[in-house]
Amino acid sequence: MTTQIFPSQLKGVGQLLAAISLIWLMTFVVLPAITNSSKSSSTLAAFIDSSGIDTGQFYYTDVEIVTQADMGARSSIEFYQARAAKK
Amino acid sequence: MAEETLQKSEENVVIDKGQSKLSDLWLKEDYWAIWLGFFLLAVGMIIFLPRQPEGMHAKFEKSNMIMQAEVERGAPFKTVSFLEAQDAKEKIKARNQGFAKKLKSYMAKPSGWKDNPMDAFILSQAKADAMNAANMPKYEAAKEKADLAKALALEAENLAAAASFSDQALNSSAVEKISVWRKAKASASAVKKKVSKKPYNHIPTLLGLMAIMGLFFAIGMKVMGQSARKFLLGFIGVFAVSVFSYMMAGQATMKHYGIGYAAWAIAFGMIIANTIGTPQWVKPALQVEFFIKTGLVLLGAEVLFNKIIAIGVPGIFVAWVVTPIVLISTFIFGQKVLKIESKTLNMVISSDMSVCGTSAAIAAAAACRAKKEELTLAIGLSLVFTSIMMIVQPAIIKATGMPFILGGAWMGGTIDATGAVAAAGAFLSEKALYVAATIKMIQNVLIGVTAFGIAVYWCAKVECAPGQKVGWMEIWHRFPKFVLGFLAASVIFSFIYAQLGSDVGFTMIDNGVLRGFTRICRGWFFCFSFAAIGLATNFRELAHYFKGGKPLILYVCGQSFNLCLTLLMAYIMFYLVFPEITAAI
Repeated sequence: MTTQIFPSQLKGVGQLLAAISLIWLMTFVVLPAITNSSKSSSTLAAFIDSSGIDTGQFYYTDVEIVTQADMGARSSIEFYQARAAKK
Repeated sequence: MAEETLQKSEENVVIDKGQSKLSDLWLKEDYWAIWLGFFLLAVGMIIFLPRQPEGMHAKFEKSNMIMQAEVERGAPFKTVSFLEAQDAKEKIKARNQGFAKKLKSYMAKPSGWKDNPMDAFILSQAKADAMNAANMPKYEAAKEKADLAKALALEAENLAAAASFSDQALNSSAVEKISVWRKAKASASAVKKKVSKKPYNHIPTLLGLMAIMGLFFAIGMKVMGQSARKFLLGFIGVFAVSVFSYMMAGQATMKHYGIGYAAWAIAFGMIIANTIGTPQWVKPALQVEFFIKTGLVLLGAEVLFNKIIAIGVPGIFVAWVVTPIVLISTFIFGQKVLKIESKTLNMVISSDMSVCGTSAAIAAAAACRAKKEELTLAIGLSLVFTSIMMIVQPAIIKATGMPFILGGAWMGGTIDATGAVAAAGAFLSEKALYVAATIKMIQNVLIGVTAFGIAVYWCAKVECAPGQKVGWMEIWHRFPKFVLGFLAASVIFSFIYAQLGSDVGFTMIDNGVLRGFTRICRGWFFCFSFAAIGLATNFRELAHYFKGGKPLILYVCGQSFNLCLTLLMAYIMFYLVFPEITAAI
């Protein structure tokens, strides 16, 4: 029984290590190489680094910079559109 | 054989009659999601609402007076003083107070890192000091550049003012110089954060958070008749996968591609499940629906209907007219043309692609009771296309010379994830960011209506035998009750926001109760659910749903339609029907 389980467990651990190695390779080698291969992606990447925007977040409350956009858009409507409406 | 197939297909048709009992209130996870979600919302209100930032009203009054005075000067653009007053208002946030920062630190996820994953958990004083010192020259240079840009912007603005803002060339010059200053200022602000790093050790707080959140859900599990002890033990595994997911999402390269915690949680879970296998002791904590529904009730409070007027009528048209058209047409396309077998998969992908990516996929999947593999597939598709579109769309906009406001509206209406929209918008210009992020925010609010519509449609039309008429009571019995909690949270918080007014609502609700507390909990709950999905998913089962590449074809066709229709609508609304709003932005 033990001899039957052991190889399958070993296989599973091997697969896990292979998956972790693949993630490492993608994170530190492949994706940075793709980023650096074109000017548009490397410029955007440098901008994301400097701005600190968390691009992986999916809802507006998760993204800090949306508060600025919200306030900026709202002030355009509240003040400038109101002025245009008065005219 | 044919008879056997017919019999089998009849067995799969849902024709049973639902029933509701009083005990559902404490025995069903839909209700527990509501109770737990509202408990946290109440805690958030008790913590934040009595603690207004000092001098909040006086600061609003001062900023509003400056902004009004600047508008009355007659400038056809936002002046330097107007923008500074706007910035001052934006900084008044309840969550910036000491108690809120302390609370956030107790619930913190792993920090960002680049080369060493341990930096996500521990940063020593010496290392923080070294990082601050290394970035100081950059900050000083950025600050100097911003100060110089401001002086040039003021000079150009004064020249335009001297000509009573009637000289187009002087006005254009002022607009351009102000835009340069805003970009330099944003850059200096970002670098400032890099010179004010403080040491941290997230490990003790993560352990504490694991215990509290485990107990929080264990109460519900116990009352619903499950073993709280087994749940708590398994929760350690789910929490560990969630922590590693947040850690990977914070890695610098992952941010370049918009690969967030949701993708990592599913990926890590699936890797474990399909290599060494999910340990038996973890399985009692794989409560995907319990975590996701509780998160969705909290998300309901973030669905603030007051936000839909943030950028006026053009925003409503781009987000609230195009989106439902794309959603419904892609669902019909999937059913009639592609003949996708699973209606739930079709609906989850349509919502994910047309509304706002992962968050819409979660809400749609829960509303129509989609399978976890279907949600995984939809999120995977969204992730791949978000990464591509975030890089390609700004490049197209720049290459074609498309106006940035039009480009911002186009990206806001089509890129799935808000973080990717904000990055792509800010990369172009501040105005593009305003439009892109605001359109996406308005689209985010559509989740509430979408989830409710899908839940009703599924109860009344999909989950019944052909020709069967479903009465209101039957719809009520079948209706996923957590959706009511989700909608109630949205209505209550939108009402409170409206009562407080846009300035106070922004400070106390949006940037207090929600961003300061409940959305942090909601992020963790969604992460637990994704980790649980991954830990319970078999690669082979997932491949079955991708049969014939139909989900990919649906996504590509739907997104292409979305790109065309959004661009057309944005052009009509921002440049033909409401040019005065575009000029004011």
